[in-house]
Amino acid sequence: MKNWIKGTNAVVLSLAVVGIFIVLTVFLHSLKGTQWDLTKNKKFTLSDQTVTMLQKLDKPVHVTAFSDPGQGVVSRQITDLLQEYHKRNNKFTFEEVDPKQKPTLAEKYKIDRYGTIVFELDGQTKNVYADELYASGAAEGSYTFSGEEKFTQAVLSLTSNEKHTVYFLTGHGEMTSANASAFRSSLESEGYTVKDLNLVKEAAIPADAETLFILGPQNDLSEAETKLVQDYVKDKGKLMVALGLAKDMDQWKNWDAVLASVGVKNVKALAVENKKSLSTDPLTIVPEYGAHTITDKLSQQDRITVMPGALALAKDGANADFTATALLHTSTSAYGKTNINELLSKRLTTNDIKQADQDVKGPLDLAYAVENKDGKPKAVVIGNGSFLTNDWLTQQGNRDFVLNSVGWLQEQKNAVTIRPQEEAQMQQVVLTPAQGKSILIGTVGVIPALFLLAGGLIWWRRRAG
Amino acid sequence: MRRTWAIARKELQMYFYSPTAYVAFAFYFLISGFFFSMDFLNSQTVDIRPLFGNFMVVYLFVIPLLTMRLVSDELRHGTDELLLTSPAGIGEIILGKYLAAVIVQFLLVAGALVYPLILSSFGPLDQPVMWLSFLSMFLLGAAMMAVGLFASTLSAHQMVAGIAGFAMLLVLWMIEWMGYSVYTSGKEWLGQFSIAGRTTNLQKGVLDLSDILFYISFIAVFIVLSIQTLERKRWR
Repeated sequence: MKNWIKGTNAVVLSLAVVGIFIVLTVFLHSLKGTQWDLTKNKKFTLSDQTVTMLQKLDKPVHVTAFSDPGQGVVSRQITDLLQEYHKRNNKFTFEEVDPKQKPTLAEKYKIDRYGTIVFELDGQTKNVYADELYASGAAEGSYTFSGEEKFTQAVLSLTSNEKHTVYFLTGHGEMTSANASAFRSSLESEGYTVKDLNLVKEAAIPADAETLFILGPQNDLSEAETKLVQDYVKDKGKLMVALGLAKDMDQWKNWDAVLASVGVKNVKALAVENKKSLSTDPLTIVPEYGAHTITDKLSQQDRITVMPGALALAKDGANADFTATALLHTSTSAYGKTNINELLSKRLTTNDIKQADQDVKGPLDLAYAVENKDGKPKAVVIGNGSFLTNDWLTQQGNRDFVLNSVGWLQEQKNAVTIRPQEEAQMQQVVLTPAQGKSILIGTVGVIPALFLLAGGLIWWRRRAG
Repeated sequence: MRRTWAIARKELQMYFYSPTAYVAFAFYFLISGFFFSMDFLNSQTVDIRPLFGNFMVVYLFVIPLLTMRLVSDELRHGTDELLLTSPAGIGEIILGKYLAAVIVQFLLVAGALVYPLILSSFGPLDQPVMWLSFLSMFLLGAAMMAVGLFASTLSAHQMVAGIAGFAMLLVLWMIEWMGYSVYTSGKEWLGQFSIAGRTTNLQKGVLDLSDILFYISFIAVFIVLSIQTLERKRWR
């Protein structure tokens, strides 16, 4: 009987201890801010903006980071940071997924490359790309990591209730939402609703159109359409124009009129750049950046944009209502070939694109951001449409450039700026085969053998003694 | 305290006079050395963090080997009766044995410093991250030693105690994975009890008080459970 009571006591005591342990662990886990970040750059100390955002977050945000398991340090830095977000708010959850292991999930989010980080709230998604988080640092052998800025921005844009609808104009051979699918999905992942618009059919620009996208038209507009677009611009409408090379564009009047209404002129000259171009193709230009919100970040991060087959633009001095700021321009040694029709009609040789007397002299402007008298964004005009095609969009900083432009046009208010972390690169070592061998033999052979030897010695002495 | 220390000393002597411990040490350094070399030679970067994931797995096998003898040997030889009737309380006995196990664990961790030492000859290491990572290894190992000690109070057969210890550690290890198969909130809830998962913060250079207290209370739980199991034997 006595033993029975003692036994029960022991069980009760053990259960109580386990119970206290569980409660204590849950309690301690719920405490926030009992940690000290001892890393050199305080890289896990979140900025006030992020902390405030996380405190306000009242809906579940789930993050899926599609990473290559072999990527090591890159995916680790991202998940380490996401974990800090999670610690601050349990509604923020994340998982790391290898798209090869879970192809259906990759299919669901239309993942086309490693390093895509999908933020999801209420079925809406926003993508952040790992390679866009890194840039080279100021010091040699260092890099910057802007993960916190991009992640916080992503959550803010998902939680904001603003809905933006943009329209792609069709009917003149432009890129539609179907054939510019990568661009469309980039816009959708930024929270935009993308629709196509044929003005001949609709005869009006819908009231919810915040921006009208005109991407690489191949034919001129009709008079009636021109009036509609011009009225739209005069009113609250905004334009995003990316001009592409087109036959007979020198005879276009109505597109010129539309551009003139925002103070920009299509020079109708194909830019040739011998100084700064991609893979020595003088027609695939790597333009220099002008000073503007759209391009400042890109030039800080040293991210280039690539324009294949760009047209030169100029300011339209006659229009005093708008101010155009050059976003992209070529070097002084570039020039603009004016014989576009001739160039389009044949296979180009080096001779064809040589500078001729009638050509426009550089530097040439390739893109403008246009503001109205009140300093409000009105239009972005780019002398290139090809960079928005599926093949070119993901090259270098192209996607960033165009999304920054769209964001600027939309006056995104929830933009945050958090200084990127500057960190030293992981020290790379070049080991000689001899060094490698001695490390392997030392750690796998010598050290364990010493212990075995000591054990053997003791066994032998004990047996003997 | 004096008695606890005396028992710890006796246990330490047992460790260092027993060839089994040396085999366990050799095994530990063989496997961790292999992981270290493979990782370093393949990546050729001065990065300490990939090491620790592998070390933790090695512990899973080595710690039951090192703790299985602690109490079960006494039970097998019948020396437990001597101990239980000695002036030392059961608490002191268990604490003494645990102290010895923790000292051995400390030596294991200290021995593993040879790897960052090799790395540091090739380039600078992130010092706070390295020391906190080693602290995490020590705490994890100490917690696992407590589980092993408890397992050794369960059976008079070393092998049975060892296997029981391994099984318990494996279950505690898998808590996080089990969570994965449930759902996000389940993973979250179970994850806070994962002895391996609790090392994450320390290994990235963040000292979280709740992690430290988790390990301390975890160790306390298994020491109390070990005391209770031995107490039960006293009444028989």
